[in-house]
Formats: sequence, structure tokens, C-alpha cells
Amino acid sequence: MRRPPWHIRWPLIALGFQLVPWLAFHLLARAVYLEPPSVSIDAERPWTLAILAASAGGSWIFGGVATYLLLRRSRPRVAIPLLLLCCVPSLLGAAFYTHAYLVFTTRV
Amino acid sequence: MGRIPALLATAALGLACTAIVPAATDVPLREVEVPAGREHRAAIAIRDDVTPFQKFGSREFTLPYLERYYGQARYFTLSGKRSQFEEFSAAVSQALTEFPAVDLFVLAHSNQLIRWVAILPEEDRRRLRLVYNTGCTDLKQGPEWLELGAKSYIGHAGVSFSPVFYVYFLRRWTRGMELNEAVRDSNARAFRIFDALGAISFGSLDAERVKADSEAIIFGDRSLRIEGGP
Repeated sequence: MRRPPWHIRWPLIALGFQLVPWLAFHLLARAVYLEPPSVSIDAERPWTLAILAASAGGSWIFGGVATYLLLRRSRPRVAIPLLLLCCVPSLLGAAFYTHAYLVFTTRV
Repeated sequence: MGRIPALLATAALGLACTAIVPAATDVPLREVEVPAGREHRAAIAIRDDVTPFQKFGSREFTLPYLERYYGQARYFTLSGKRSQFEEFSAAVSQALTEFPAVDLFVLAHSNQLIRWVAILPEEDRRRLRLVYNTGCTDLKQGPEWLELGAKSYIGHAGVSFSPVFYVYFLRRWTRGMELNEAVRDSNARAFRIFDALGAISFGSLDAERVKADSEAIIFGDRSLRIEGGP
């Protein structure tokens, strides 16, 4: 079977990436709070901020590249649904993780 | 679409998303400096034995604010396997003897943590300033906390969505807003979230009932500020 072109794959990757932060936070929470802990509670904050920063960066990159490629290479009937279903959630996620990083570091 | 229009459209969509998120969650606050008198106040927070994700979220949100805006901050997460009663009481006792003003954040479902504080000497308890309790139906503890020595108590009357209020409240109280104003503003913002949840659930969530149950109510001094004394 032929793989879809990159301008179709990027939006799907951008959407799939949104699972990563929530999975990472759940794993971190379990590692810290389930007995016996496998991650020290002192390491919780650096890990949290690292996950937020990586999630924000990844979402901006995947969402941005996907949006750009769709606008450049797709016909409207393909681009619009993918923008709404994949790119907008990714960019909203990017903005959310960025905002959460600033809130969790008491900067805003 | 051409390269430049595609780049501009991508940037515009990113900016629109950047504007939507703070509007839907919480706006950046202008005043984020530490109010005066940080060295004269301490805060203690305690989280009950909930799911790992809830414990994680509570601590990661709360502790940075307490550490930045208080001279001393202690945070306890209860675990089913061991009692932290002695550790918690010792921390409250130490803070009450060393700081003129101590704020207590009880992040626990309906609870009787008041008993852990009631055993402390009356003279020390007088330094207890603000007690915020997220516990459902724990508003009724207000008069007891004031009798123990707290200057102000905030609680919720019913089975509440108190975490929504708490996220707004902690950010406003620590930045120096008067207690009455911080509670009023945080209630109003939480109510908007409940209205939105009611709308997107097509009425299966009764927003008016959630508001009535979740409204934070102050007992005692409503004019407290974080920089104020005991």
C-alpha cells in the first residue's frame, strides 16, 4: 500500500503527538507516587517543566509545519478538515503547554 | 497557496491559538512581584490520598507559588500506607512558633484535618491567619477554625468543583490581592467555566447547581492581604 504524502502525514503526526504529554505526565505521576517510588519527589518539578517545554516545542513544530504544508500543497477540500481536526488541536496544545509552563513557573 | 501567504496564515493561526488559551483558562496577571514581608509569613499545604495524577497536579501547581511568595513553604502529600499526622503537626507547630503569620491550604476531600491543628497550643494557633479548605461541605468548619485562631477561613458549601476555584484563587491571593477581591474574582472566573461546561454538556451538567455548591465563601476577616500581619 502506498504511504500518504508528507503533507498528509504531518497533520496526523501533529495530532498523535498530543498524546505524548498526557502519557508522560501519567507515567511521571505513577513513578513518583506509587509505592515504591521509582522517581524521587525532588525530581518531579524538573521533569514536569522538561515535559511541558518539550510538549510545547514539539506541538509548535509539528502543528506549524503541518499547517504550512497543508496550505502549500493540498486542495481546500483536503486541507480544511485536516487543519480543523489535526493542526488546530496541535497549535492549541502548543499554546496550552506554553501557558502552563509560564503558570507553573509563576511568571504570569 | 504561495510560500509567503502560507507562512503568514500559519503564523496567524498560531497567534489565534495563543490568544484563545489564556482567555479560556486564566489570563496572565500584571502583578507578579513578591509582596512585601515574605520573610514574615509561612505556608503549609496538605493533599489527601488521591490518585497519583491528582497528587502530582496539586503539588506541581501549588508548591512553586508557596515557595516564591512565602518565607517558608511546606507541602505534604498523604499516602494510605503511613500516617503523616506527627510530621504535619510538627511542621505546623514549627511554623506557628517561628512566623508571625501562617497560612494553611487544605487540599483534601471532606476532611477533619482541623483535629490535627486543634491539638496545638492556643498561643501558637493565634498566628494562624488564612485557612483555605477545598473539602466538599467543609464550609461548616468555618466557625471552628476561627475559634481555633484563624483570622479567615474559606470553604465550599456543597459537593464542589473546588479545584477550579483554587487555581484562580492561589494565583491572585499570592500576588497581593485583598482576600475578598481574590475570592470574588476567582468565583466569577470559576462560574464562567461551569457555564461553559453546562453549555457543552447540553445541560447534563447543571451549571447553576454546581455554582451554588462550589462557591467559595469567606468566614472572618475579608480584608486580609498576603503582605498583612497576623
